[in-house]
Amino acid sequence: MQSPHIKAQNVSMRTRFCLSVCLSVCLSVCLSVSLSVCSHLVYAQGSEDVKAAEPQTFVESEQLLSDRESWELSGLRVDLGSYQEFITGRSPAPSGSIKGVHIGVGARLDEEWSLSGALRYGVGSEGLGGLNFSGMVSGMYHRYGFGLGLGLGVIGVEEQPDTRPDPSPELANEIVASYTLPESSLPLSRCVGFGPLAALTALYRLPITSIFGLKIGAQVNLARLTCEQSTDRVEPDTAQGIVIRQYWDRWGWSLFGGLSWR
Amino acid sequence: MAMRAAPALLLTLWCIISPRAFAQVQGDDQVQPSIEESIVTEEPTLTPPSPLGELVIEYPQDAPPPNEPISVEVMLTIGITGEVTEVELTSAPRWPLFERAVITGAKMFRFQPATWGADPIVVKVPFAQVFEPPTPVIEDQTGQRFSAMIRGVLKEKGTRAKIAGATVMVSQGELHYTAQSDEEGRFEVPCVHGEVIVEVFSSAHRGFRHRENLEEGDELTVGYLVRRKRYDPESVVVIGKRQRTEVSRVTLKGKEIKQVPGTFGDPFRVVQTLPGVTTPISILPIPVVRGSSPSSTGFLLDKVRVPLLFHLLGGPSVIHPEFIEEIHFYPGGFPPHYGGYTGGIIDGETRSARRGERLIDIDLNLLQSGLLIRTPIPHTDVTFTGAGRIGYPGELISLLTDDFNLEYWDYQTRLDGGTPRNGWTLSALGARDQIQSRPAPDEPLETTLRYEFHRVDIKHRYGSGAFSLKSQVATGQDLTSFGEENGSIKLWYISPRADAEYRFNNAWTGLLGVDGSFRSTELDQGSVAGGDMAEANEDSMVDDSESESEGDLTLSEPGDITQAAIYAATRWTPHEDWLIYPGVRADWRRDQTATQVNLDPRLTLRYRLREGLSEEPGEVELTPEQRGSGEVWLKGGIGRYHQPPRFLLPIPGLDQLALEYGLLSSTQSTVGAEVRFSEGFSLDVQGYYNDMDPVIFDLSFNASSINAAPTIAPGEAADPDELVAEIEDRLFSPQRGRAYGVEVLLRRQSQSGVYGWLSYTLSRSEREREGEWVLFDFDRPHILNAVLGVPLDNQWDIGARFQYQSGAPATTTYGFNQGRKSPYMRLDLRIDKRVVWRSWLLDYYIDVQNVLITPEEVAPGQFFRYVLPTVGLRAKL
Repeated sequence: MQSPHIKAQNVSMRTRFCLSVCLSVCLSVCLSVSLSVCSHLVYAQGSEDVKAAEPQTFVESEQLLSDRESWELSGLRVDLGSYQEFITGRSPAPSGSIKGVHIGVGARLDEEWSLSGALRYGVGSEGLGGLNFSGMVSGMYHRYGFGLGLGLGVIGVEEQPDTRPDPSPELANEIVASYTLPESSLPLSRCVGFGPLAALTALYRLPITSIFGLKIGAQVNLARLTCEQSTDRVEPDTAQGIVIRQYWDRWGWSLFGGLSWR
Repeated sequence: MAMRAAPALLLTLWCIISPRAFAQVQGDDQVQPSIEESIVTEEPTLTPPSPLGELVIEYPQDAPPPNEPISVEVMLTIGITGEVTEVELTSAPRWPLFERAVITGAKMFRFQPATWGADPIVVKVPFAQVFEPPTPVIEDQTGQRFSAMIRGVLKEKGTRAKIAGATVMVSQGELHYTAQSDEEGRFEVPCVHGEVIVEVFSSAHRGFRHRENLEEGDELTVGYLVRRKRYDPESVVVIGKRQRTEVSRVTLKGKEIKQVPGTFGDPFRVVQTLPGVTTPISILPIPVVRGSSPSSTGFLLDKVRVPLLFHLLGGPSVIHPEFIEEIHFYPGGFPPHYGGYTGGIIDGETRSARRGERLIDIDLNLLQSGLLIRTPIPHTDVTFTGAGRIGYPGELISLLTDDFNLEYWDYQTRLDGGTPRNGWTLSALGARDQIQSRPAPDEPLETTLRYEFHRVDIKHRYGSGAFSLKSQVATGQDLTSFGEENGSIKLWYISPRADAEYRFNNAWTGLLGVDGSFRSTELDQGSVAGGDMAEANEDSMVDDSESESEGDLTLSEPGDITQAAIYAATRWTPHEDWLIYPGVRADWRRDQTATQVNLDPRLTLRYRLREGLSEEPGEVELTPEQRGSGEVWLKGGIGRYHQPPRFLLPIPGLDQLALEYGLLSSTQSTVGAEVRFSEGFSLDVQGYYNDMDPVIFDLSFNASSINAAPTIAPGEAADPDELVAEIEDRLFSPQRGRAYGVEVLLRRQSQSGVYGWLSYTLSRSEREREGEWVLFDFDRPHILNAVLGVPLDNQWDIGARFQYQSGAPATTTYGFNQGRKSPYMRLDLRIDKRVVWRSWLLDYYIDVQNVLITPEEVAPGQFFRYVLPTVGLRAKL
């Protein structure tokens, strides 16, 4: 079975992806508003069962804690937003930029400390290509809405074929076992692989209500990718694929922002 | 009741302003000079009378309290001694009691007499008395009196359910007044007037506080919306303890089928996380159960086959999740009322709507949109449920390519009447999937594949005493079209069934049932898979080998298929620690190619080795999670199973092939043990052995040998033409197969707490080739699934699912399936958030399948990576 290669048209794909996310958010908002109206109609239909002596209006509780106090309580935090990252590669790793979606899930432990996980999915450009993703767990210290944390995780890349010119086009047909290129060589034409990631993150969370807020932040990270380029051939004795391997070291900094819930 | 009068100001004003007052003298004809004459001539001045003491009119004793102020006006004649000598009513007589009281009381007034100079004079002055409505005196049962009252209703925010047993406390400084809400959520709290703080306390609800301002005598009616700590409409509700009668059944319900990560809320997909289940490719919902082909496992809805359970390319199931109450999964050893399958059974059980139940469910996510409405029909005892969904995965696919499109829709409607024991259900459901592709870069998209089915069900249930009867008739149409030029397959069918049960006594229950089907297949012009099926079958209906052309896959057309079955079984419990469940099923099938009959005996045994915890009279009551803990059951079963030949994968209209190919059969045996722990934990361990003889149309595509030179693409057969012929031969030729292994399921069920399970399967699945046993193409020795769902504060739910499975076999230079592809692991995450509005609930969820985008080796050296995130929201009104 052939692997379905991802045919990415970088700019148009990013645009369509972002438009799809925005459309979903707008649809959600519109739906919430329309449902608020519908709920009154539905409830009105059901209210024929309500006894006449019931009060006409029902009130909710006053807010027992301020918004900031609510956000300092322990509990789950979820973030959804976007990010842009600028990558600088150490030879032979290429440099470029990545734009994508940031999903954060974390637990506020107390007023000062939290443990959070972050997932990022982005599309590379300017020397990078394909799908770039990462997952990380961070411990963070908080004060007055600001947070500073250190995280460890994994990073992955799935580039399209021929993202870059192939440095050794004949090599793929010559080797009879997987081979690792030296650091002095040019970057692989296509990188598919994983690697460890370490990052330092700073953020600020602005409470809008007791359960909803905004978050902005910046991050600096270091990563080492193990890139593999398939030769479309296998070792016949083991049925294991024959690949050309290369290690990419790189550092990057990124800005991110989005919505938060608790 | 004394009423204070306020006439002093009026009296003074009248004396000063009115000249007539000064001119009137009683009992004296001497005319007093006017004020003007006095002023002009500097004669003696007038001093008005002044009251001695308060001018109090007693409230008339016999008079009822007025609802509005009552004003009585009189004219007082004050004599020279200061006594009131005459009281004359000047207002219109209206309230005799009050007027009499004023007249009588005014005569008791005493004044310092008016004087003219130094001489006292008689004067007339007006007087008005106002009787106000009384301030209510509130008393509680002890007779203590309060000056205000708060009464009201407590309801739950979001669901509007009444809150019973909550404590309502009204506070003012150090004073606290409390009351409990009744079953209707109503409460009354006598208290003091002024600004008060009202608080509501309930163990199941969050804190509530509201300020009220009460006037003296106020009786304030209020309505309070109190937020629940957790809203768990999907929580598992255990009603009684259902007797287990099977060896290998897992039942999932509630959150277990709707919030498992990586399943997009699809109940049927959750089965892939259970022991004994794997898939050819993880993203596709095609189960391989205990090493059998996907076509050997039945996907049923209320015991009736569903022609297409999942939408194409990894889409959700065609049934709205809200229709599904439970999923019953039998990896093997299923009872005799199921027939026609030799692998496993996945049966979704729908539920009847409860009388008066109302629901609006709107679901939106990146792949599809759906709506479900459930409402009672006025003036009847019938409830209507309708649901529909539209899928647009083509929009996401368009991000990658414009040459391909996929869209789908499905619908379900249902009418429920009567009671759960005696009632009826009329339902209709259907779905359509369509794939379009572009034949050339400049040409428009054309339909290349379309699946469609429609079905109508009528069900009736009757129960009286020890007897119950369930009957059902299903009819429908299935269609598969391969494009306008390539023809289509259309199937029409009708399937009646009836299941009766009679409980002779506490130890003996008899079961009897019949089911059948009539299927008519229609083949339109065109061809299937490159061959000309219509021509081939016109030439030779039975002997398809003559019509076979090289490289073509030609199948005999079955024509009309008639099937009838009868089964009988009994559940016998000679002792409370024993269950013996024998049964037998007979099937008769006929089509235009052959007639097949089979007899399937089955037996299940269960023995309780150890009794669980139970409370003795007088002891502390156990919680549901504690009751029965420590119980150990041993179990075993053996049975024969037959099925008609089916195509490799379920395709509408093509899921049953000509009987001339013969029936598939298997003998399944299982032994195991169940242990129940406290806090909802349970452990199920079982070993199984399945002998499959024969298997036909097995899902098997690996080459028998590969080229030894590493310059050729992976998996490529030494001779590609030979591979196609070999696969074709493998499909049509009966083979023998076997599968055996051990399955472990450690599970925690909870109504509102942490839930999940850990399932592990150690197994081996083989086929006999040329006298030797070789691995089946989808044999996976190790299959591990871990599912965890954690409810958190603030209406959050977080879930994770981890999957690990060994790589499938691959052919190497050492022979057929002698190597293995890389193992595969995957992590899925799901986050649910419920927002509670005043009278409805809104659920947001993020479900990400394969968050770490781990690669899966689908063929040697060929890796497939994917991540499927979806963001959705669901509203429940």
